[in-house]
Order: sequence, then structure tokens, then C-alpha cells
Amino acid sequence: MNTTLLVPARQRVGRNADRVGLGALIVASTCLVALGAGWVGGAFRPVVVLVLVAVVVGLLVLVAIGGPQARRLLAPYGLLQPGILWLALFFLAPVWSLLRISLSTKPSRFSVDYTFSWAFENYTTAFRDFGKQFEHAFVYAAVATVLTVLIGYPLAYVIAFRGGKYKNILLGLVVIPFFTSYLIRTIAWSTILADRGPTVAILHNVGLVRLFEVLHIMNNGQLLNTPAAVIGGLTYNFLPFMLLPIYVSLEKIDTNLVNAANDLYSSSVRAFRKIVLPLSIPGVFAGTLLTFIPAAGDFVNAQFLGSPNTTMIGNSIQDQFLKQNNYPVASAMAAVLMVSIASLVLIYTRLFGTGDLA
Amino acid sequence: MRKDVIELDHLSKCYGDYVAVNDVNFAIASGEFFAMLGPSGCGKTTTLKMIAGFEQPTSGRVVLDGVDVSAVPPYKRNVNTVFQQYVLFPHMSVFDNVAFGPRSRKTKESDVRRSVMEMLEVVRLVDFAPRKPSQLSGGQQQRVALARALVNYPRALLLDEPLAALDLKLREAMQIELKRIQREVGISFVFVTHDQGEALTMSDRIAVMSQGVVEQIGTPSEIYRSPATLFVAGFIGSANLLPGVVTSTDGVDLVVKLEIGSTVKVAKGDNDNFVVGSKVSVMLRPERIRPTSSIPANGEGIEGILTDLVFQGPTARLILRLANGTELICITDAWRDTPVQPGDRTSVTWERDCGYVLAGWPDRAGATTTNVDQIEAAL
Repeated sequence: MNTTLLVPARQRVGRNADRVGLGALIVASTCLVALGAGWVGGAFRPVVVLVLVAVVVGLLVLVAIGGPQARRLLAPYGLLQPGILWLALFFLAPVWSLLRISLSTKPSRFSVDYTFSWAFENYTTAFRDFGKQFEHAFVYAAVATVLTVLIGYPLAYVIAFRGGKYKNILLGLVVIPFFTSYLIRTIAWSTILADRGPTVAILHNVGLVRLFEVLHIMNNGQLLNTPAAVIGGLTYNFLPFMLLPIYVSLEKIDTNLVNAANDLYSSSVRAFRKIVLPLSIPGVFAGTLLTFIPAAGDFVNAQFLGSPNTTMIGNSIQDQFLKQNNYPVASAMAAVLMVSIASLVLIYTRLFGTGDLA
Repeated sequence: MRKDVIELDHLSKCYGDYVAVNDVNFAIASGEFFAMLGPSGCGKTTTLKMIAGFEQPTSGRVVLDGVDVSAVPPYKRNVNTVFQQYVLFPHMSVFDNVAFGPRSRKTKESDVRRSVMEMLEVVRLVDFAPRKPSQLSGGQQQRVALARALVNYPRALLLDEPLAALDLKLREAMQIELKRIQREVGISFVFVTHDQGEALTMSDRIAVMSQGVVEQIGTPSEIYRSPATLFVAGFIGSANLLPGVVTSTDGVDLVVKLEIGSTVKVAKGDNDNFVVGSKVSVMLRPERIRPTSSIPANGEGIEGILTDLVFQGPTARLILRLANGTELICITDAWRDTPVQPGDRTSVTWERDCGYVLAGWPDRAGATTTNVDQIEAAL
């Protein structure tokens, strides 16, 4: 190897390491998206593969032979590579395909093919025909999120501050049911809430049916197939995702802070309001994101615990994709769901974001 | 007339069988800087917590300004605490931390602003008001904790080892700062520490505690010069404690036959309880005795071999090995030439009133049964 050529090359690499590293990542992921989303076909495909391999290997070779300075500067890009490429292939490429399909048309109702045609009417259809399902998704997810906070916060509080030596056992009890599959647990609830099931029987015996009907928890003597059942299922299934982050943020709070607040003339209530609550808000924030985002896209609870009147957008998307074979409209619905969740989360973060506490 | 702010009346605290605080009685005067000093586990922090209200006494009373507050919760007691780790509220600015107490008491916001800024002035942190505690150094956090407590003008400020988390230099600076602040605000400070130097430097009075019991209460010089018990003598400063038995007394001096075999003459002091045959310990502060090469005859004085001579800057430290193997420490002026060299037979002399007699024998100074038998046989 010609060392006289290599020395200035090393210096250049050192100076331009950021440009080289970032460039390599962008080129490599573009290649992957191109392959994954089917931008190129036929003879170009091997070329793209070649470019991809060359860039990935090139970056590694540069790290290997570029000398200590280049190695230090390029190593972060080398470490980022697997994650970025994974995202490119399994997130960016599918999203691209999704968006593309959402603007395509099918030649006929029964066709499985579709052609790209800037068909914005898919979005009109999504909004016009599935407004109710979008509404259900967001309302149910929001109510379930609020309920998980109301149930999870006190529970986490008791475990964190009063758990003593039973702390880990109590946390274990919260988590153990979730060793069972999500689907199985939800189906179990449909048995528990069934019309001839134990819960309804007890409610009849106690005479609470009338009250529950008034509260819209029951409908026509049924617990199952109501919005309450779907929300209940969501609440149950996502409770640990709320409880655990809140527990972690409460656990970190030094109980001496409460003592200090007491010492400074604050009653326990004021100490909680001014000290414990603000310091645990990051946990609540994380919990709401972990709960609301998957709950809004969920279709399992509505399918097993709900009725056709409580269908959530997740069910409709599944239906359009797998039963109606209407990929363009299903894609449009998925895209709308993604964008609306993202914007809600963004607004929420801006309003309640606790960046300086994290 | 002296006015007591805090009065502890037969205060005890038990955790199951373990007695953490055992029948503690003392009163703290208005404007006094009072230290509770003792090794860890001696009950000083528990006592402080009972004054603050974080612990309930098992028996006895805590009296604040003449009112029994034993059952009053902390937030209704007019005392404030500076915690060992400061425990500033991490999500609040310095200003809001200091304003916490006044706001809890529903003070008008304009008054809050004025008194907080005043107090930040006292602790010299006005420019730091908008900062978060995490942006401050240890010493600054310490001063915020002080301001947060003092802004309420409590009847007494309770400080739980407040300087323990600081490095040596800062700690020394904060000792002076604490004294200045205390003079400026005129509030009683009750200060818990295990550092005797700290207690001696700052306090008006010290209560020395050990195993839940108050061993002695007095001014720093009283405690250093005339310790009431062997524990106090050993805990405050360093002391050579030599066990022996009183063989004769002439009203002013005691003649003590020491365990090591020789006899010494020591001023009797104020204590009249010693009679011939009393088991006593002679306390010799290392800086109050001088080495000499002239060995007194007829078994008088203390004699040993100089094993070590350590130069320490302003002072030199001499270690003598006595006849029975115990060590005697002597601290001398390093600028003066020592008349003896390591390996020499050396004795120590002292002015008549530099020795001090305490009742009892130290249990750790080698006063074994055999030794005791020997002493008694020698009489």
C-alpha cells in the first residue's frame, strides 16, 4: 500500500469525518429504502446493492485504517449504522410504501393491484366513512389513559412510599398477569364480562344493573359489547405501562424532601401537591405516552370486548387491509392515524413537556 | 435573665429494646449556639428529630417557649431544620426554595419577596435567586438550606451535621459563616455534630452524648479542661488517661499510685469525692506535659522509652512507651529542641495544675484484672 498517498488521506478523513460519516449513513439508508420500497427494479437493483455494501464496508474500512483521530471521529457513525439501517429498512421503507399506496387506486373493486395516481380521494374516504372510528379510538384511548393515571398513581405511590420490604413483591403482583399473552388476557375478560358470566350475575343480585345502565356502563343488561368494556380492557391492559414509570419517578424522591416541606410549615397535603406531585410528573408524562399511543391504535380490545358500535380505527384498518383488500383506503387511514397521534403527542409535549426535570 | 427557648424534660426514645435516647434533660437559651456532640449512634440526631417533631418521644416532654409540643406535628412547630444533605427542592429555584416556608404560612406575596431577598442577602446569594439547586456548589446549597430555614425566623434552628458533606476548606469557611449568620439573626442554633473541633470552634455550650446519655453539658473550655467523665476526656481532644489508686491526700493534691508502678502528685481540683483507695484516672493533655531526660528517683513521675518523634509543623509529637506497654503522647513546640532522642529513657513533667483526676478506670487502657490486682497488691 502506498503510504505517501495514505497520509494526506488520513488528514482529510480526520477533518471531514462528520461529513463522511453522515454522508455514508444517508447514502446507505437511501439505498435500503430504495430497495425496500421498490424504487428501483430490474438491472438497477444489483447496482444499488453494490453501492450499499460499498458504503457500509467503506465506512468500516475507514475506521479501521484511518488512524486514531479518524477512528475517534468516525466510530459514532459506525455505531449508529446498524440502528439507522434497521430503521431505514423496517420503518422508512414501509412508511414510504404506505404513503404511496394511500395515493393509489385500484382498477376494480375486486382487484388486488393498485396504481399510483395521486388519489387523494382515499383520504376523503378515510375521513368521511371512518370518522366515528377515529373518534372512538381517540376518546377511548384518552379515557383509558386518564383511568390508568387515576388507578396507577395511587398504587405506585403506596408501593413506593409504604411498600417497605414488600415493595418488590407488590411490583411483582402488578406485573405477573402480564406474563400471559395480551390476547389471552383480553379474551379472559370477555368471559368474565359475558352476559351469562359471573360479573353480570352478581350485578343482578346486588341490584346495581339499573345504576350501571344510567351510568352507561351497561347497555341492555350487557356489560360486554359496551364502550365501557372496551375502555376497561384498554385500562387493564395498559396499566403497567402507566404504573411502572410513575413508580420509578416516585421511588427516586427523597422522603426527606417531604420532611423538609413538613418542617417548613406544610401539611402533608401541601407537601404532596408542591413536592411529590411535581417531582413525579415526568413519570406520569412517560406513562401517558406509553399508554395513549398504543391504545389509540389498538384493535384487540374493541374486537373481543366491544360491538360493531364500538369499533376503533385499528379494527377498521385491519378490516380494510385484510378483509376488504382495500389497501389504498387502509393505507390512508393508517397514515391519518399516524399523523394525528404524532401531532397530539407533539402538542402534549409542548404543553406539559418536562424537559428540565428529566 | 436567661430565657429558655427549648427545654427537654426527661426525654427518652426507645426502638423496641434499644434505648436510643435515655432521660435527656437540658435547656437551650434564646440566642444560644448549642451543640450536641457525640459519636455516631449516640442519640444526638434522634434528640434533634424529637425537637423538630419527626420522631415522637417514648417518654418525657419537648417544651418550646414554655409550651409542651411533644404531640405537635412538625409543620406546626416554630422550629426549622437544616438537613444533613440539605434536601433542597430540586424542581424549584433558589428563590422558590427560600419562599417555601413563608408561602406555606400564606404570607402576602410582596412580603414573601422582601423577606426572601433579605435572607438571600444575609447568606450572600442574591444573584443566585433564579438558579436551580443543581446549578449551585455544595457550599452555596448549604447556604440556601440555611436561608430557607432562617427566613421563617424560627424560635430555634436545628442543624443536623450541616457541614459533614463539605470538604475541609469549605467546612472551615462555613463554620465562621454560620457563626456570623447566627450573630446577625440572633436565633438559637441547635447543632448536631460528631466533629469535636467543629463543636469547640462554634458553640456557646456543648452537650456531649454517648449511648443515649448526656455525659456533660458545658462551655467548650469547661468540657476540654474539666471533663466530667472518662468518655468526655477521651472524646474531646486527645488525652493520656492513666489508671491508678489514690494513696494519700493533703486537701490540695492527691497522690496517686499508677498502674505502671510509679506515683504521681496531681492537683485535686473541685472534686471532693476522692478518698484514699478511690479508683481514679489521671488525665494528662498531650500539650500540657513536657519531655525531660532527667529521670526522677524514688519511683515518682512517669517514665518510659521515647519510641517516636513526629514533626508536624508548628508542633512535634512524641510517643513514649511506658513500663506496661501503654503509649503516652506528648505534644511540644516544634521550634524548641527536644532534649531526648528516640530510644532514650524519657520522663515527662508538668506544672502542678496541669494534671486532672477523673473517677474510674478506662476500660480500654489496659487496666486488666491482673493489673488491677497488681495495683491493689502494691498498696
